[in-house]
Amino acid sequence: MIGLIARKDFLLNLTSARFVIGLAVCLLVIPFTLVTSVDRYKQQINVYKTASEKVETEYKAAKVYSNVRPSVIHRPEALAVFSEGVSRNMGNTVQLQYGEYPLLLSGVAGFSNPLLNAFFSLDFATVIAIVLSLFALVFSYDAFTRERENNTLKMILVNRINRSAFFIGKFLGILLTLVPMLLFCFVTGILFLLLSPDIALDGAMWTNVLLLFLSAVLYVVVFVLFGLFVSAMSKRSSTSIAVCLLCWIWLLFLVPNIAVWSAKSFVKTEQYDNMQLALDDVEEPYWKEREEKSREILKMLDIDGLSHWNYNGGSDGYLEFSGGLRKALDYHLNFSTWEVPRLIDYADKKWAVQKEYLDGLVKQERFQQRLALLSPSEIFGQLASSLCYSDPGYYLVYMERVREYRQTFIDYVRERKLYESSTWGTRMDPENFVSDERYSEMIQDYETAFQQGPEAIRQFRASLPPGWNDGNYGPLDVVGFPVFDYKPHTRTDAYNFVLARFALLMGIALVLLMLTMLRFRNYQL
Amino acid sequence: MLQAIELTKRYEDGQLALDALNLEIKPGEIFFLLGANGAGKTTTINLFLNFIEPTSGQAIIDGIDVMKDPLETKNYISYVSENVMLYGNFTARQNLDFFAKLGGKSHLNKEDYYTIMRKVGLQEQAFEKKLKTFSKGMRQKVGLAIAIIKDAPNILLDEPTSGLDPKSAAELMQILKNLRNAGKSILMCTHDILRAKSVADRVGIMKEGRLVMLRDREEFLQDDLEQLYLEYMQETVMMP
Ligand SMILES: Nc1ncnc2c1ncn2[C@@H]1O[C@H](COP(=O)(O)OP(=O)(O)OP(=O)(O)O)[C@@H](O)[C@H]1O
Ligand SMILES: [Mg+2]
Repeated sequence: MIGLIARKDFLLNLTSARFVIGLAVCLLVIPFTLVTSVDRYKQQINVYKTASEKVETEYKAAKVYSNVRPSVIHRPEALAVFSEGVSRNMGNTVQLQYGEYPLLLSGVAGFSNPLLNAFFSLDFATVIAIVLSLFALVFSYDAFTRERENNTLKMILVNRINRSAFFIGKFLGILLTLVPMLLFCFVTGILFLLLSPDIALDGAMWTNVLLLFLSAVLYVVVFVLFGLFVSAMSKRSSTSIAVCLLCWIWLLFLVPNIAVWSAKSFVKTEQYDNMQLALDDVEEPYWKEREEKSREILKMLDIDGLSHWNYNGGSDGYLEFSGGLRKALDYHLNFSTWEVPRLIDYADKKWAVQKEYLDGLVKQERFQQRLALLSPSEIFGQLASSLCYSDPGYYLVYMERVREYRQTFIDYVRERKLYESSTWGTRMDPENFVSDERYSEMIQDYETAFQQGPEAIRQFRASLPPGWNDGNYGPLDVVGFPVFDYKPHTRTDAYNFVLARFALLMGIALVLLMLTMLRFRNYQL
Repeated sequence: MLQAIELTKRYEDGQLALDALNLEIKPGEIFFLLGANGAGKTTTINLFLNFIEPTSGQAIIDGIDVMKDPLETKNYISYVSENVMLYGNFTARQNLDFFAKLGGKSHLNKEDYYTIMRKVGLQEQAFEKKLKTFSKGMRQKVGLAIAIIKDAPNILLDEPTSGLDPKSAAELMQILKNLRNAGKSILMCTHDILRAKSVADRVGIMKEGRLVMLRDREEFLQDDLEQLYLEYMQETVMMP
């Protein structure tokens, strides 16, 4: 009996105008959406490739340890083609520093919370959420009312069929119509992925695509049941469609925006600039200590002026020089030995401030996320972005991994006390640095040569001790240094996230099923 | 056999639509229920079909109380609704096929459907046409075919002649006679006094939920049924 009803509704739906229109809409919108998304991904991946090549070259070209500074370039996730999530809000670069923890991928400044997905980006998952929920309602709003209006409900119930069976048959008939539409959308999507040479998915990703499809089915089920419920509550199709459309607009467009608005108004976050100022306050003593330390070392070594032949330096432990006073080398060795561990200590202190700021952002985002659970489309959206590695959680975990990587890297440097060795700042043999007297002589020779002309200068340069002219050394061997590696599917928190939302959709579906069944039992014919 | 015992229906809004109806329609009998609009005819049918629940009393189909075992009674009734709409995107045959299978007739083939449609007087070229192109009377005929194909011992018809042309109406009456001769109990609600006169074995007139008149064929043939009907109706006007 259930099969008979389902078959009848399926056949009727297939020949209906709404099915043709639905298919046409999918046919138009889905490929278009995918073309733009795939295009965007290609651009991202190009940017990623150029950036990582550049970073890689720089990293491998380092001649001294202080210059071994890996940058992490975030590789855009191919799956984000299906659901962009907050990926648009995120930058792609982190440079590791001794003096500071990386907070978020740079490229975004502090004007707003990048974890909030406030913009309505029309990606595949969003289109599915909008189009298929609408069609789910369009196919179900009149399920009971139309049969009532056409007297067919009476003609059916004159037979030996109970109302629950009729309801289930109806439900299956609609699903049977919508699932092929959904399947069509996914097959198109998968074809796009397969035909794009830049996109390669691994097993875990294909599993996620499958899970995304199942979530979409569940999502459609929720809306079909919702439409059936409204239909069972209404006597006329016209009432039912009005109620359905109102609820649709409310659930898909108003609830998400209300959630963002509420999060912004009720959960205040620290201004990014204020956080930066607070960091400066934390850092202030460091700069004093640094100055004192410098003076102390100068005094200890009895230096009244630092002289190098070639010098390059920065405040985050960066140092590269060659030639000059032996005392200058001693100064740098002493200073780096103090500076680098101190920078690391201060980074830990600053992290407390940064963490508080980040926690604020996360709190706001969580609030928005929870509130948005009132809308099935948002539940689906959260599921989709999580499965497609573009949800806030993905980026938060990613940054955690980057910070862990920074720690591993620092530990590696610390264990080997690289900043206490001369290679931290120079590749010259310490023996080739010169005494104060010799240095004065050399300066004089240089001035004489300078007056005599280019040939004399060339001769003077050739007479310098080995290594004074930089560029004589090849790059350092960086093979042993830790490298960053991140596999998104190793994220265990995502499983719970996905599971919870799956369960929630399932729960809503079950409640709607029960309510509709109860309601339809007393449906007035 | 259809039986109503003290069958009463008061709707939620307080409207007493049926007031202690006692009625028995035997196998091989056509019963015509006449009455003005809102008299309670459809309510009576709906009670037999378990579409609504009685306030009190019993509706009994072939000895089974409709309230006690509604599903079981569905095996013994077929029904022609007031305004047959059916599924516009199905052909006449597809509609027939769907309802036949619902009624438990799953072994029928195309020819069986065509035979039934011929029997109710549907023109041959309409058999495989979509129902949305049908006139009201044509749909009514398909509705009748659906009721007949189920081959249940009791048949309830709610104003089946509305929308039928005179020839089709006459054909319908002939079909009803045949069904009666095959031993079916038939309850037909109608405003059509002329048809009642020609085919009914018994006639009841209903007014404001009460069966105010009940006549056998011999009785109402002697009187002028039309006159009787109008008299009963007039009383309403006379006693406010
Ligand atoms: N669902 C309902 N709720 C409340 N009152 C109802 C309902 N259905 C019918 N009625 C009332 O019950 C009375 C009997 O209605 P019913 O439909 O049985 O009349 P009827 O004899 O079939 O009339 P018609 O010839 O117009 O079809 C009417 O007064 C009507 O207003
Ligand atoms: Mg009626």
